[in-house]
Amino acid sequence: MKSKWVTVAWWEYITKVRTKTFLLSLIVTPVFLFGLTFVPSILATRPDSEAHVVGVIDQTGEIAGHLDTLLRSRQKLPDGQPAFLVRPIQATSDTAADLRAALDLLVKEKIVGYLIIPASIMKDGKAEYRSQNVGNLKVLSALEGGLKDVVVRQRMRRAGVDPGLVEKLDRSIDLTALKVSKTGEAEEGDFMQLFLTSLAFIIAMFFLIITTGQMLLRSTIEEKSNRIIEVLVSSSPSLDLMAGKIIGLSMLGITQVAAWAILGLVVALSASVVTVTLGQLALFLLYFILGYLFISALFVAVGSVLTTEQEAQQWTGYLSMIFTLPLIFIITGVENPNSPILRILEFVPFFTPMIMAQKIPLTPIPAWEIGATVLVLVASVILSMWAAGKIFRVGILITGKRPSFDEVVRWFRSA
Amino acid sequence: MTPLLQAEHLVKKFGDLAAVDDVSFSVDGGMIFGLLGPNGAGKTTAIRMILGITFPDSGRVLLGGEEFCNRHRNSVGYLPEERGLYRKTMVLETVEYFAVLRGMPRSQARRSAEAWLKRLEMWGERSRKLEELSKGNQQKIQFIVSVVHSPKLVILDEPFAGLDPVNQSVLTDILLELKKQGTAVILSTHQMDQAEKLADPLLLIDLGQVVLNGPLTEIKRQYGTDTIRLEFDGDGSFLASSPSVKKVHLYENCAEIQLADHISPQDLLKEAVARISVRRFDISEPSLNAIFLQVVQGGGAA
Repeated sequence: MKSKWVTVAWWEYITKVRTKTFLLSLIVTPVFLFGLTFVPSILATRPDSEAHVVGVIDQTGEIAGHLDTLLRSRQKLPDGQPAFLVRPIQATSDTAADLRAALDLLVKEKIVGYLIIPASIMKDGKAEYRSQNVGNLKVLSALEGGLKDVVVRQRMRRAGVDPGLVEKLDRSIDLTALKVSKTGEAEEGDFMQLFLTSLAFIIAMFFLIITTGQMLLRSTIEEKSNRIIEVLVSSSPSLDLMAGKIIGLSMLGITQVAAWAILGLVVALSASVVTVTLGQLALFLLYFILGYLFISALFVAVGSVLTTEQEAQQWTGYLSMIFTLPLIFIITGVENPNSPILRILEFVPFFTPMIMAQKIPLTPIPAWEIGATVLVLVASVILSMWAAGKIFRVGILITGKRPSFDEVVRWFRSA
Repeated sequence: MTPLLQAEHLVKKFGDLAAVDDVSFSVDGGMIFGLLGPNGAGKTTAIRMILGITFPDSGRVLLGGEEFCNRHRNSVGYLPEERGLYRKTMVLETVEYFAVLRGMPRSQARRSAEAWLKRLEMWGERSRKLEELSKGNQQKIQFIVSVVHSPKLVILDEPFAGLDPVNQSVLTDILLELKKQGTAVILSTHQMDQAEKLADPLLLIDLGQVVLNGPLTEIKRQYGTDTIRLEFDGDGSFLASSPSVKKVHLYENCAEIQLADHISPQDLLKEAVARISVRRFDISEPSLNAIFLQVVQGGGAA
């Protein structure tokens, strides 16, 4: 006899894949994902179009001029004009008056902020920058860097070092980070790239759990609430129904991920923002599929015990929370993907898919670790499906009052 | 010959309550079997056990002499009392899906779905979503789902609910046709007049136990022919206390009466004429409704 799970799986797939919600999630999620990960970094690295005019109260009398020259040569706008202009505010003996003058310029928006360079800067290296916006890291780091170089050079000159030599010694350094695989091949990858890739993987996983979990519960609840389930259960063995449902909905999830993966690859290749190899992608898909089957089984089991949409929503929340808990370790993971805590948690089946998704782009994972985590996940999938089958068998016919935990345990034994 | 369906000593308990307590019956092809009983009698639980939705605590269900197993699911059809269809999917594909799920090859499922939809004048609605249909039309689709795969046994739980008189008679015709074709139909209903017109034999259960089981005529014979239908003007309340009357179901201007032993219909007629103005007086078999009320103790709640 032809297995009925095929029929059920096809039905679950085809009736959901063409819904507006699904089509929307195909498009909206990647856009959102893209926005969340890339837009801030693109904005942050986007060059300014206008020069920043910075006021300087130079109580040493020897810094402002050098700083102006340095900033002009170092910080350029895209059109070649200097990105920073220093506007000296004549330092007088009356500090309070200087400050008032600077404040006046700031209020009239002639300057974006002003530096106060005290006479003591040569000794203690302390200066102040005052502005209405001190969150602009680009401005702050440019000023800090420039000021430091000028002060250091001045110190060297005072110490009698030849200015030409200072120039020579003071070349800046460009550090390139290379990720090394076990075979010794080096590939270029800076922190931002790795972080973004890892983040993209995690967020993709996160969205799948959230969106499809809800879909799974909904679909079970709908069948229960209007008694379709009675017709279904009388038509085919409940194991086929459950397996068909899980497989059909998993295909849906895979369709989604495949679409995103293709989209992601196109973006990644064209922008070379994210570095992923096909091997990494395949590994990600493997964890995704297993994780998905595991999650589906749990959601179907829970769904067959619940009776209303509200309960379903609540439980989607709880379950999603468990699966997305590894988000807490996202920074730990990026800093040290091989940290002991991650190596332990990756063997907890609830966390495996997410943690591994994060680790894949960050670090080469030993084969035994992949094998072991996959094994744990496969075992969990089989176990959860078996348990879900038992609960499904009895739970689906329950309407009205939600069964107590004791009752569920009892079904589990008797079904 | 082995009957198509044999239910043997079915027992199903929920906690201490026996929803179905030692119920046995058999159904043959070419038969519309009436499964009757008040609310909560255990009809639905019995049906669920026959369909393999739940399993009996003890007793067994045989189909064609074999113990019920998954293979048999393709040869039964079910119309549940509450609507059970997807809301968002289209009529034709839904009907087809259920046919395929019951083991029909896809091409055959399409043909059968088309034939049934045309038969019930629903072909024009084939591309609409189920939630857009009227209640009566949804009920028609629900019925089609139960018969589209040409099952040997069809179980219909309140199939007439929500249908207008025209569609009720269309459905009645179809049921009689299925019977003629040799299909076994189990009709579970509260509507005694429908059951009386269509079903034979009958099984009446109450509180999980069989109260009546047999052919309609036999049941009626068992409950005597001494039912008198009386239509009148005036106050008929004396009937309730009259020594000539064993039992009475008294309505506004009519009554169904069973005579006490050794009282002839003439005696009652004389008594009645003296008190009320009699418009009609006839002696007949009890209606199924009267039997139902009589048998189900504390009656009146049918």
